[in-house]
Amino acid sequence: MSENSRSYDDHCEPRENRAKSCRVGSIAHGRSGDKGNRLNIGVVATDSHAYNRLDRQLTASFVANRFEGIIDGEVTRYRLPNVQAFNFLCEQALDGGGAMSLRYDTQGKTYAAALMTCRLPPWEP
Amino acid sequence: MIRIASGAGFWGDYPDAPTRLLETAEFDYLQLEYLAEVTMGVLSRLSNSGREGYATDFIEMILDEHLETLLDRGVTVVTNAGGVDPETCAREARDLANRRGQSPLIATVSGDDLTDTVPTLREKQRLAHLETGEMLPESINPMAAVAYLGSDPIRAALDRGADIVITGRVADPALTLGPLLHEFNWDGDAYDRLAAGTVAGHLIECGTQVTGGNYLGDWEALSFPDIGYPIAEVTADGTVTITKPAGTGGAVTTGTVTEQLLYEIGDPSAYLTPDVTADFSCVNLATVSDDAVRVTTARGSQPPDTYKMTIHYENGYKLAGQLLYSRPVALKKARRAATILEHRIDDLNLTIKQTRAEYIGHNASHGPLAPEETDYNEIMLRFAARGPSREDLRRLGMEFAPLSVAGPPAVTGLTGGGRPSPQPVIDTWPTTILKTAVSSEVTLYE
Repeated sequence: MSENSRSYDDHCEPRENRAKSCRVGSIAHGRSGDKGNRLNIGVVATDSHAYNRLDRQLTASFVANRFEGIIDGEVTRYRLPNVQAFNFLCEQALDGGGAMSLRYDTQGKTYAAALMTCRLPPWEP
Repeated sequence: MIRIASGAGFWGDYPDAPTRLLETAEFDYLQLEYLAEVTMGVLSRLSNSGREGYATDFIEMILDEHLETLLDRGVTVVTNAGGVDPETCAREARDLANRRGQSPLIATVSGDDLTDTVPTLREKQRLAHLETGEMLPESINPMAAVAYLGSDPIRAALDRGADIVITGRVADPALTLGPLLHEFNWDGDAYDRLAAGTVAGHLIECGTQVTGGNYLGDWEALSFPDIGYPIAEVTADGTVTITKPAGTGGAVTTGTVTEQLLYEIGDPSAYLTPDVTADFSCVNLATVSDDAVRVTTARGSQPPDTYKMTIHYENGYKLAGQLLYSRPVALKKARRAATILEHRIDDLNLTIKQTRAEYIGHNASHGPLAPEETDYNEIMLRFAARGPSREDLRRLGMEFAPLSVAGPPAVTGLTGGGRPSPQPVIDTWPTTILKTAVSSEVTLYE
C-alpha cells in the first residue's frame, strides 16, 4: 500500500480486513482534470480484488452523491478492466469551466484526491 | 524504432526541460506542447492588441539555447508554439537561425483559424455546443474560432524535409502521430496503428505527468527536482514503450502510465481525434524494465467527419481578493468578512452575477467534501465575483482593504498586493466543423 494511503486516518488493510469499510484511497489512486465544464476523475485500483470491490461499490451514483454541490450534471462511469481502472465523466461540474469558474480549483485538479477520501461501506464479496 | 521526447507539457513548464533531455538521452524528435484549452483565446486577445500571438518561450528559451545542438544531432522539432500566429513564430525562428549562420528548414501548419467562417456557420445553425447541444446565442460575439487539426499536415511538412514544424492548434496527440506517419508511412486507414500512435501522444503530451509528476499513487518515494521527461519509443508495428532517461528522477510504472492514460478523457472506448477513433479501454500495459512500460493492443476505427472547434469570446469580468485571518476562531472571522462583502455589494447596488467565498485552509480545494475541523490556526478568505460590468467589479476591488480596520480582528496580509482588479473572462464554446469546410496548409520558410 502506498505511503499517502497510509496517511488517511482510518484506512483498512486490504488483505486482513478486506470486508471492512475503507477509504477509496486505501485501495486506489487516480487523477482528475477538465474539458470545458466537464470534469473527469480517473480511478486506478491497486489490485484485482480492489477492482472488483470498486466495480461493485464505486458507482456513478456514489460519485454523484458524494460530490453534491460540486457536480451539477450527470455522472457516467466507464470501465477499463485491462488496466483495472475506471473513468468518471461528470457533466456541469466546474462552475462554468476554466475561464468562467470562480473556484480556486478552476480545473478540478484536486477532485481525484477528494474522491480518495470518501469512505466505502463494508463489503460482502 | 523512433524515439519522441516530450520537452514541454504546457506553457509554463520548466524552461530547461529540453536541456535535461538532450544531456541525458538520445531521441529523434522533440515535441513541445504549449496550448491549453483557453490559451488560443488569450493569444488572440494579445495578438489583437499588437502583442505576440505565439509562444515566445519557444524562440527565446528553446531555440536560442539549443538550435545548434538540435541540428547537429538531427533532432526534429514539432511544436504547437505557433498559437494564433505560426507565420510570425516561424519568421522569428528563421531570423534567429540566420543570425547564427544556420539554415534549418522550418515549416508552419496553418488553416486552423476559422474565425471568418463563424457568421456563415451561425446562419446555418451549425454551431451546437458539444456539451449542451445549445446553439450559439446571438449575444455571443466570437473573437476567435479555431479547429483542432490532425496529423496529416504535420506529416506533409516532415515529408517535405522540415527540421522544425510549427503549428497552430492541432489535436495534442498529432504532435506525436505526425512524425510516426512520416517515419513509418502508415496508411490513413491503418486505424489500430493510428490508435497506438495516438495513445503514445496522449501519454507524453503532458510531459512529467506520466513520469511520476502529480502521481497520486506512491509519490512520497519519488525524486522530483531531477524528474525525467518522457520518451515514447514506437516501432513500425505500433508497439509503444514509455520511458525516461536513465538516472533521472520520477518513475515510469504501470501506475503512473494508467493515471495519465485516464487524464482528461471522456469515453475511453471512443477517444476522438481527427485521425482516428481510438479505444483506450482495450490497451494492455506491461513493465518491460526499470522505468519502461510497454503499451499494446490499442484499437482504432474511423475518425469523425468533423474537427473539434473552439470559439473564444469575452464573457464579462471576474475578480478575486484574499484576506488572512488568524486563530482563535479563524474560520468564523473569515465567514463574517464574507458576509460583510455581500452586504456591501447590496448597499452599493453593484451589478454582480455570481459571488463565491472559499476558505483556504478549509475548503478551497474540496468544497462541500471538506470536513470542518474544530479550529484552524489560520484561514485565508478568498472572495471571488463575476459580472458584466468592469466598473462595478473595480469598485468591489476597493472593498477588501477597508476590512483590515473595519471588520473582524486578527486580519493581515494586505500590504503590497494592492487592490484586486477585474480580469476579462475569455470563455470557450466547444463545437464541431465539417472537415470538408477546412483546408490545412503547409508553408516552408528557408
